[in-house]
Amino acid sequence: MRETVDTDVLIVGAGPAGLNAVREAADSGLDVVVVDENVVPGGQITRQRLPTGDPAGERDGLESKLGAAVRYMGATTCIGFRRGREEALLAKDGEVTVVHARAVVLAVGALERTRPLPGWTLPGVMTAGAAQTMLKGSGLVPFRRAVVAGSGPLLLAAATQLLRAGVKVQAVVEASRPRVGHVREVPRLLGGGSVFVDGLRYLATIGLRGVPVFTGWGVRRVIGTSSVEGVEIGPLDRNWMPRATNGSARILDCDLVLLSFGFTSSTDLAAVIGARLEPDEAQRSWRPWRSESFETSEPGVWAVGDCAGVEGAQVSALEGTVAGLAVVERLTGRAAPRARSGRVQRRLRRLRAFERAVASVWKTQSGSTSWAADDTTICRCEGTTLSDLEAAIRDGATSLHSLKLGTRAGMGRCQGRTCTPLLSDLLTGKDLAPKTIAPPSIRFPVRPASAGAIAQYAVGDDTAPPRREDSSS
Amino acid sequence: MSSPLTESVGAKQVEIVIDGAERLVPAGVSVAVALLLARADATAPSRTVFCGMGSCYECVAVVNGVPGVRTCITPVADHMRVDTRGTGNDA
Repeated sequence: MRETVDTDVLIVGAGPAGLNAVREAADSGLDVVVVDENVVPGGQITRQRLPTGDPAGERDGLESKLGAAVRYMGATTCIGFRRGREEALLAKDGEVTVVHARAVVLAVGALERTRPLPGWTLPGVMTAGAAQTMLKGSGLVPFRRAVVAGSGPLLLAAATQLLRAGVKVQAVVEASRPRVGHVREVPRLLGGGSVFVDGLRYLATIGLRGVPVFTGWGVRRVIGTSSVEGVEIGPLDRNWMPRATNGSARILDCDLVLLSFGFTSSTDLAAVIGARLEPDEAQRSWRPWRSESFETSEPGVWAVGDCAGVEGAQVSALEGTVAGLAVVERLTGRAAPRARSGRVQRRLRRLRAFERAVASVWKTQSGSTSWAADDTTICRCEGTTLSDLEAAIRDGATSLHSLKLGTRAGMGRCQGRTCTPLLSDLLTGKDLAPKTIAPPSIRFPVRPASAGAIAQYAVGDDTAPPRREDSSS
Repeated sequence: MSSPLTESVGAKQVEIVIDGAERLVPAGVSVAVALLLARADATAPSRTVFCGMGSCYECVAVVNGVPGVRTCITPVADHMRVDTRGTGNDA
């Protein structure tokens, strides 16, 4: 049945932010439980190869470096909390572990943004991150010819990685185009240091391999019957509205289409724990409010890294350090040396400026909300189409909640993680400003859990378990 | 799928059962990747892996009898049974 674990610190997410928090807490002698949905720690950017079943090779990865006071729970999902942060519920293979921790650090990262367009549900369309995950985790991407489309520096990174893995890249299709105003971002971009240099290296590789790069272009539709066979691409205006092609649209053969439009913070656990969310204009989304040491409005709960505003792996790692030090001070009374905190804060400021410049150059423009056709699926779980949603908005739906009730969009198996950013763009129209609508309401469990796991939630509880919003699954 | 795609993953293979058919797939890959490698002969699914990081639930299958398993974050293991026909969505 269910196991109960007492610990000093629970860290949810074993990416750069979570692992730095783990290090600070463990180095100070605190007991740490770190949980991650993946089998091995590392998160997305520092993702490790999956285990091969060969015991000799298994223990040399990140997990072995965590130290004896750290318990790593892999392939385990934090499905929620109760009584504020006091009890964390972790599910693995239908069994629930309850963790009582004196402090909780949420470091659950971000989700990749997409744009719905005709044909985007065909097998062979995936996020750029999905392809990177395959390359890093499995060592291969089982496709032959790719088109990498969307907006942001990740397009170049993904295209380069595909080329190195032997996949032919037919084109990189970037919706943004260089503007005069971007010149003022150059100093801040240079401040990105090694990340900026990586970007130049990707451009060089792509150029040397002769991959065409279309800037100010977008995918009009994905072509195929049972899987991807090609894409049609065409030019966009400055606002990302499709322009008349005058014969310039092209059809490219491919069996893989990667879509990537930046990231959005994963806020479901912060919301379910009761932390206050605030609009994040740069990301067109929400993030938990945080103190200077990244504590949320819920005392004893910290949120670090991309789950609290998407600013990349380097910022995430530094935030993990800051929160780790704050947790140590809270639980032991020992503060970090001033000089060290000062250094970390200065690096954070410089990297933040870099990330702001990146966000400004690759800002998603509202014309992209017109890329979907009337019959294009928006909620991939429930099959809700653009015309279903537009009808509901015409009938007076003004919130994520009313759209959901009217159309079922966001009520499927992924619990709205994929479509909520798309619904919010539809609701906020040409401003794409989340402050005009309320964030999505999140209920336990934040991930689908077996009936057994939910029943265990109620064991020993004096209140009824919260009802799921989604009664269908 | 042919060998160039699998050269980089090493020689070790494991045997898994996909929709009732035995398959040799590279050790150390995700179930989602194994399904893509085997898809030439399997029935064409209407959806396959999309987010690749356990968020979208489009790659779920029944694995060793457990429904709703996210194949993108699950590594293959010898003698694993994977079923993509039906109840992967009924956790």
